[in-house]
Amino acid sequence: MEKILEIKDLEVRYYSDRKTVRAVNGLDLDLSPGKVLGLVGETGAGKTTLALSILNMIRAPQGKIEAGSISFAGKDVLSMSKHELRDMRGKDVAMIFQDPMTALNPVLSVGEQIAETVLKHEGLTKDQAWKRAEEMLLTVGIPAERSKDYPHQFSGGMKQRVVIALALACNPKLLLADEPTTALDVTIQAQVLDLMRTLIRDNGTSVLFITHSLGLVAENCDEVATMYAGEIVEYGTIDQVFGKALHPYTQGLFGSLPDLSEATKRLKPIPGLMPDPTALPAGCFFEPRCPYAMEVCKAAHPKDIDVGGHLVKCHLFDKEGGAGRKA
Amino acid sequence: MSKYLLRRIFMLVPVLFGVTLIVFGLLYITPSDPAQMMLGPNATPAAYTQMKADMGLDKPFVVQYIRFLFGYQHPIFGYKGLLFGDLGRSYISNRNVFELILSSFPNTLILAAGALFLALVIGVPIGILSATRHYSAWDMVFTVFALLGASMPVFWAAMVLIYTFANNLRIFPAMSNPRDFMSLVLPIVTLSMYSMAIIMRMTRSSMLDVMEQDYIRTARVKGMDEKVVIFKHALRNALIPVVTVAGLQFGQLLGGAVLTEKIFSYPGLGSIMVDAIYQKDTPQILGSVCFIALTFTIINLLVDILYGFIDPRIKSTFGRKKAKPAAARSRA
Amino acid sequence: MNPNLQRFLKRSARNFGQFWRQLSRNKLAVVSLAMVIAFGLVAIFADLLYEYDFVTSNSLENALLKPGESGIVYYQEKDIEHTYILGSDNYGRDILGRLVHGARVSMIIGFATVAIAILIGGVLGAIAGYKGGLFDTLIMRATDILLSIPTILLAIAIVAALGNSFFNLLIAIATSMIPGYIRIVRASIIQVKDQEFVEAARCIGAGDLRIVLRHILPNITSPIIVQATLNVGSAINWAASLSFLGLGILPPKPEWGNMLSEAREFIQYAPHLLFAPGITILLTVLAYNLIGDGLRDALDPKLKR
Repeated sequence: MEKILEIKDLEVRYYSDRKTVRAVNGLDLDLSPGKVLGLVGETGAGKTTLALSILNMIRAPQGKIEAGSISFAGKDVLSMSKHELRDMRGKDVAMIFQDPMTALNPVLSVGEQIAETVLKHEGLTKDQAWKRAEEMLLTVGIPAERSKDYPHQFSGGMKQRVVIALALACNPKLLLADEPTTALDVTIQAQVLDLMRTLIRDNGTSVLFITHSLGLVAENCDEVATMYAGEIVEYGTIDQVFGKALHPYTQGLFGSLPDLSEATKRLKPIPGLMPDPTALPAGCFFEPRCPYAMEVCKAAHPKDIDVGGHLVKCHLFDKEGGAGRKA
Repeated sequence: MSKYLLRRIFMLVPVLFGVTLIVFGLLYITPSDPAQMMLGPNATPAAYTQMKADMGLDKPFVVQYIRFLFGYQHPIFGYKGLLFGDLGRSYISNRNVFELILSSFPNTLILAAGALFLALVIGVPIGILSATRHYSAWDMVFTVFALLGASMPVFWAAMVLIYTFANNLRIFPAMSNPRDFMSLVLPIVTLSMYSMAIIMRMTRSSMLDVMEQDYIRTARVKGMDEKVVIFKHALRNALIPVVTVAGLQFGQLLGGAVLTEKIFSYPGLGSIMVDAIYQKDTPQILGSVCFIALTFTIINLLVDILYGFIDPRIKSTFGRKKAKPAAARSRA
Repeated sequence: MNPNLQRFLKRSARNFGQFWRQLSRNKLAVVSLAMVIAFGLVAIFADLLYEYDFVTSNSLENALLKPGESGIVYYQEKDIEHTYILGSDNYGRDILGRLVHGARVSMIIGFATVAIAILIGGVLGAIAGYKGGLFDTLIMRATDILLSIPTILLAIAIVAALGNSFFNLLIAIATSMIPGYIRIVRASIIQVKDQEFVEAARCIGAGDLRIVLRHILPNITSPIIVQATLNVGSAINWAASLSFLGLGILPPKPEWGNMLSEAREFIQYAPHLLFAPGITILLTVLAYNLIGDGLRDALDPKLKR
């Protein structure tokens, strides 16, 4: 089956006066239609940068996609014209941001914000677009008559529903959900996720679900990729990764979760911090924090190793997994 | 909304009361002697005392102030008081103080409105251009111009314009009056320079601020054209602090027209006030300053109301305390 | 030396170094600072450059000389040959000399008014913000009243009432600036006073004055420094404007604004009378505005890019 999204060797840099931030480093990732891929990692791992890159929305002059390719449904996103990009954004690929409080324009009514998107992409009349906006609001559980209301008149959870309605208004093929529930209360989180799950299943939308919560990944995703310092260090199905996490970093993430089934006395946080993205180590990026670090980890950057369809970027698997290969 | 308005109008009362007290107090301590002025240098002491009593200047401050507000009965120097819109006659021209103010105020209004209009029409688009082409050569050029405009003394700018366009190029006259459009050009340009600079810088910084906001990213992610992003999504938000600044500028323009009017010999309220100050014409000074302060305060109130119309967050919370957008406070 | 003090000095030096690096990246601000310092030196040593009596006494036979022309001046009972670098005015007085002495007047007005305004506005703003309640209401109402008179008008009214003098000009301009400082200080204090570090200080028994001086003051210095720098420029501008209207410093005392006022009738024959003082005012005010902008960028960590 053709992939909906294929990213190869992506490199994204941010430049400031003196420093260069290596936000995404030789990242490979792909996504099949109708699948939900969970992307986990700490704050600063480059998750949002990756999502913005998919929309070719890295803003010059500070940010630049330096290398690699991103293809969406077979088309090269990075070589699209401005016009093609605008047609793709919002229509084929939609994005939900982390903070619903700031994601909506305070001076436009929520109906207007949805309707203008529909108007732009679907070739409808103004009335039809508004009708669609009201339908979308209804779908996410907001009464149609509230479409004339402004964002400040909604609560946080309601705003995120509006954002979801906005993102799904044009039936996108791919949804980039960037920590869609992080800013919400726990009870509201569950409601919003339920809603998203239903809508996604009904539409057959592929989703890149960005989060730092493994719990949410387990509940919502088909596949999972662990991101660390701008690269994917482990990739597999939910069963593979949650069954046996291979990469020491992923294991660390699991270790720092409370587990009710085991009588663990203390959580085991991963020692240290993410490496400074302006000065990444020459070898494995995780080596300074890795409990299993070896000599080779300092010297050589690991390649993807295929362990039965389960990819891991770690020297520990050099012997077992056969030749290193690219995903 | 109407409750809020009533409250705001009610709050004006103590402020205006304070303004009259300050202005009256200032003139009370002025070392001028209107009685002496009326009589000339050769008056007898008896005539002088009589004149002082007639003018009501022999009474203590409080009495004089109350008379100033509520009126003073006297066949020659009597008046109905500030609260009834009557401050009697000018010591110099013998015309009714408020009549003179009301006949000259429209002239000042023409200048101030023209200047604000020019400042907005040029300042806002340039501000937008500067912000969207952040750090480009144009941005630099406009920023330098804005700084020059904000630093230039108004009276000097007026003199340079007169020297260039009136004396040498002979395009516009050096003297201005409200009935001749050509003669209004130079004073309006002079008066608008400072406001234009302020509005331009405010628009620019406010735009820059807004363009960094998440909802602008949302609009781009939705596939909106850059034009729509700038003019629909960003501008409406960015204009909120600009409206405040423009309103405040309008008040300052009414007051600041003094220098411009004086230089262009323009028959506005500012000229009348400065002449009254030169001639120590107390009723005229009192009337003019109070009138300008009242206008200024009312304009500020109108700005607040207008504010509600462009910012839905305020419209619905009218009556509660409002938070000014961050951009209005910083990077002015 | 006391180790606490040592640490404090070290930290201050480091902070200053950081601040200076930030500021020095702004070329315009650095050039402006150099210019302001140069003007300041000229103002301080004005008497060494031109004698005050010389620049205030008439020499009608040398009236309206062009820049660079020379003339014989009868001064202190003898004839001396004098070159008018920037020309002479309608009374034959040396323009450059008057600008130099005018610089002194402008600098004093600029700094003195701002100092007065900070002192009074700062104290009132601190009381309003820190004490709240009735103090706050009274002070803020008074501020509203002052703000409801356009600034230049308020200054004009005050000078008109008190009479033309250097001191009254100071009072007029300072008064017009006070509301600005009351608002800045009050707003900053309200913002800071409920933050945890202040509560923590109160918990360990620090008094009001100590809290204000030790914990709140350092947090509000940045906006005040920026506002003060910008205001020095405005004060110079206003002083010139008022003197231009004949409400402030009157000729023959040298002041930039009154020089322009006197020049009005002669600009057609002697444009240097128009341009020399005007450009001087413009450059000075511009320099303070540029420094103010530079300081704002250097002191406001949010804007560091």
